[in-house]
Amino acid sequence: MTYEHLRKHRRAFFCALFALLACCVWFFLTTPIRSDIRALLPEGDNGQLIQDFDMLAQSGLANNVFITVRGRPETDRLDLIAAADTLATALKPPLFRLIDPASVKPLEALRFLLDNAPNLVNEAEMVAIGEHVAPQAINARLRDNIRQLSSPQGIVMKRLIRRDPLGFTAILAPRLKALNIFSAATLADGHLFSKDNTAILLSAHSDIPLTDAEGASRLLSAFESASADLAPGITAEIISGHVHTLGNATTIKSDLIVIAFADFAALALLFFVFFAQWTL
Amino acid sequence: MRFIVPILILLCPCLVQANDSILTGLHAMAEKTHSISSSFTQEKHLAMFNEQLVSKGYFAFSRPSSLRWEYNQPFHSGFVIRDNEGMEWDEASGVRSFTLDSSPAMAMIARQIMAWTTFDIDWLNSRYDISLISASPLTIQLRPKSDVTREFLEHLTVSFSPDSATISSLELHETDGDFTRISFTGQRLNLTLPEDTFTVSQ
Repeated sequence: MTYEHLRKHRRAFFCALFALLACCVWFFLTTPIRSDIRALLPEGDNGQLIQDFDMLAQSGLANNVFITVRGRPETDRLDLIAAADTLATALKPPLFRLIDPASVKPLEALRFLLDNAPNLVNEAEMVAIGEHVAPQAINARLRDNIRQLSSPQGIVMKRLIRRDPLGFTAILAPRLKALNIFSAATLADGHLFSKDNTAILLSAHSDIPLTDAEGASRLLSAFESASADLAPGITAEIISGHVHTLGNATTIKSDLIVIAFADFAALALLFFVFFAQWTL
Repeated sequence: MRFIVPILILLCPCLVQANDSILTGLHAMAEKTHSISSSFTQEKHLAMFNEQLVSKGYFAFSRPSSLRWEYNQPFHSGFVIRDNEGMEWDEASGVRSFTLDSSPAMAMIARQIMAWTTFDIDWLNSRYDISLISASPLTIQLRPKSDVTREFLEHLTVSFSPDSATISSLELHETDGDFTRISFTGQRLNLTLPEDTFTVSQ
């Protein structure tokens, strides 16, 4: 199809062109728009980066939200508790599902390690397991089990001892040391206080996926709205992956807008420079 | 049929809520107690063993918050607590120090032992539903109110001496049917306890 041929059928050509443009506009308007930042992430080598990100999102850790309610040194302890309770009440599901500190069960972490031990042990730990199953070690361990079962702690420890009579959990337990971030905190009056008693930590799960930029925006707006009502002298800060999701999405979108305008300007420049004939 | 329920209630005293006057009397008696020391024999009936685990030891308490809980047969272990600080020991690990802030589990255990043995009725009432099983000798049953505690503890049975001055035995019934009976003997109330009762040499 040559230019001469098209020149002879300009009306048909423009009709076809407008029909094509109309189809494009219709396609654009009906395409569902996702605000999931995952689509904007680079895949990395062999898709490794995106796989790692997916695993993080599926781990259940990614949607955790931590909120620090902080007072001044002179803030009354009861006022701080009241502020934390008021804020917790204002933060509603599905954006925030507050976690009761009393419901946290440290033994669950040990149970998880034990259940997943076959997938978690490395070579050094296998050597340690070998030492644990030597006859003398078994004898000492079982004697210690009886001592623990007889102690007042025995009622709580019994289930763990029954599941792990040879103490393999002790080999994996050092891994939990890295998670011991609350060692300076104290649990009192149903709240988790900082060491200096000037701050309370609230923790929550959110139904908003870590990669949902629009959801992250709603979550942060709800937090800012709720924390605006705190008493003078008491502030709240949020730590969550959603903050970074929203920040990244905002940056990526502004970059895309700049790129789109630059593309358009370059194409327009090409069009105006190289197309000499403007008449139909 | 309409008479069956009242008759059942009469025949089943464990369903009767503990009488306020009895609890008040116990509370008044506990208020007068400044120190307790006692030997104890503990029997553990666990489904995982054919035989019961029997151990013997010594217990001491002094107001406001000093506690010693020690096993000396068939092994040596135990702990002492004075205010917020404590030390525990056993044959395998030796002596270790701890604070109640850093060891919430130990804090909870110590608080429970103090409440049961001194019969701290206000604390117990806030955490257990208390029922009267027998008026003479006085025996009461405590059922935990908290869902967390109910996961492993079904109920406690506390039996008092004939004069209701001291606890003669304590039974802890777990949800899986296992139970522990602690029988106290040679109780001595309000004596001046030796200085080293609530300390342990490293």
